[in-house]
Amino acid sequence: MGYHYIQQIFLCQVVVLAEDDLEDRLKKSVRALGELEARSDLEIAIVDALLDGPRTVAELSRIILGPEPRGHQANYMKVKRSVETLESKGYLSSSILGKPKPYRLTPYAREKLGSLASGELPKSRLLTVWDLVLYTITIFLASMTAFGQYDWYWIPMFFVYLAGISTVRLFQTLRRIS
Amino acid sequence: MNPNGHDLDLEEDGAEPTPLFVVSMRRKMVLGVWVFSSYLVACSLLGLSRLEIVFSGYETRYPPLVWPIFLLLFVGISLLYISLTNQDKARQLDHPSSGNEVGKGKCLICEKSLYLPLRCRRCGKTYCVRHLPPGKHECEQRREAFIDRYGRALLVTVIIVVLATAGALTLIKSRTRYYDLRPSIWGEIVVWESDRHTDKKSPDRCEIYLYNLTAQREIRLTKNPANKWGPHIYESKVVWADNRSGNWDIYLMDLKTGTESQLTSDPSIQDSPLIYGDNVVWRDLRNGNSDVYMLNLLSGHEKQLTDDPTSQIPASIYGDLLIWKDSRNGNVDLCIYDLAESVERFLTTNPASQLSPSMWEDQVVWQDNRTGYWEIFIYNLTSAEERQITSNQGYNRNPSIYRDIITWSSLRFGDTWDIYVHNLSTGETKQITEEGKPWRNHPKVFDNIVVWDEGMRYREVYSYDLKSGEQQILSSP
Repeated sequence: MGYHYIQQIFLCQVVVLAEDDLEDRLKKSVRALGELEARSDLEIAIVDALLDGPRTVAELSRIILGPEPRGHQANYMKVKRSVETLESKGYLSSSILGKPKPYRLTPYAREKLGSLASGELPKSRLLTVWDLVLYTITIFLASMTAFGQYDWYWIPMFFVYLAGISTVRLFQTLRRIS
Repeated sequence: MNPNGHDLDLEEDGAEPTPLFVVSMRRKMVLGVWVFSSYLVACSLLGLSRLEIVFSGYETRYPPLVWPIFLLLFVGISLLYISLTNQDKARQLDHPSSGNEVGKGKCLICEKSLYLPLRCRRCGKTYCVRHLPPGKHECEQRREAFIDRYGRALLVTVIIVVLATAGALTLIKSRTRYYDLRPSIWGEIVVWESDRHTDKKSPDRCEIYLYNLTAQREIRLTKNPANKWGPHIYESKVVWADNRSGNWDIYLMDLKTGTESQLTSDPSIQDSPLIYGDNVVWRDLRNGNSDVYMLNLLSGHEKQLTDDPTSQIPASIYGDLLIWKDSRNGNVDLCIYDLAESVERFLTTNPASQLSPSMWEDQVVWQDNRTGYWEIFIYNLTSAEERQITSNQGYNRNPSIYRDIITWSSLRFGDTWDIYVHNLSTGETKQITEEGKPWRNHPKVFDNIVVWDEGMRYREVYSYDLKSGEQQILSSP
């Protein structure tokens, strides 16, 4: 069902696409959105809509599912849930304060879409293996600094350096999903 | 049919069931950052004394230049990382702000239609990923782009290399460690052994150093590549064990005349010398086991004091009384020997071990583990009375006594090694070293001065004036 819907989306754009690479790009795009973990059609449609710019949940609901009769909120709630799911995966973000809150694609989602769709850029990940290694070593050194022996003089030194690097790295990651 | 022109049957949507509570990734990350930072801060607070030791230079003793270099190096590496990351970001999708619509971008070089168009940040035109780099699409600003891309990274790399080299050279030039150990004090003179002259040719080299507390001057007593250890001083005479002839012998230096003399020449090991008056005693292995020998400097007469096949090691001497550690009872006991009358008797026969005795007049102190912990005990030779000085269930070791002052180093649970002083007259016990600095040992007391060695990587001899409360570093490498 999901693939079928995506095919429909791109078949609508056949007029503006060169025919020779249509099939390749369709496959690539389907794969891209699949790897984005947008598992449902609605989530894919939301990502699709947000590629054009920030939108509130109400706008997304109206664009994707059409206007609802006054007093009905079924579509709105479905979109809202999907938006929250995408937000939990780090692909959508909104301002913390203020109302209304337009949602936008995070830099992480844009990086991932770009890398996945082009197929030539390295795959974008929120936490790389090196990040995990860095955090693990930092926590290990922190514990050793707190509870280790006094004559391991080099441990506090490396701990301070790695703590700085880890903190910067964590805030960079936070910025990517904000 | 929705306004986008797509059919979307939500009832048949293959979506996964949405969980009841969905937490945004940003909140999860903020929580993660908070937990991570809190743990680091907590560990830093718990290990504050260790951090202080390193960054105050107490243990590392790096030249002051090293820390600014390290700081700049850290900033440099961060800048390089950010610079390179920005280059990667420049290649990433630049869609929403460009106002392009999905699927409507077209590469101006190969004319490929693009699902997610990439826009050159320099000229603002749209290209595919292959033709995005300025050099690939003949960008008008490709020279600036090249400088922007590689110039900054190159500059930062050069800075990092220069800083790293400067830091490494500064570190190489600085000494990595030294140990000034086992001080001995008499009057205003403190002597100790130091390995600060070790090198590749003589890695075990130790020299004997002297410090005059009145003149506040350090003097190197010995100058040869052999190893030496265990200096002991009485008035102007210093004795030590010396390996210069290929085996351990006892040497003596008279500080008044500046003459050095070899007291033993036996090819076996002679070490652990002690001196009082004209008597020098030492441990001798010429009989295949540790025995105690004595030499009278006036008569030149050498005498074997013990001949038991077990181990006897001299530990303290005062006047005509000598105490050695004796293993003949199956554990280490203290045996006292009268040099004038050639009479020996056991001071302790407890099945636990008694170590590190120190004697002044008729008082003997030692460390004893009969309680299961190492505690300090005292024995009065006149009244034959023994009593326990410490009862803190810690590790109290190497006591030293001078008149009514006893000093020792103590490790208590959750603490570091500290030097304590006990006044027998007042019964008062006082910690004379500040908390948080590790590894203090071998305290000796004479008059109002307590000396000890302190530090791990850089072990130095310290002194403390009991009257004024002033602490001083005697080592000045």
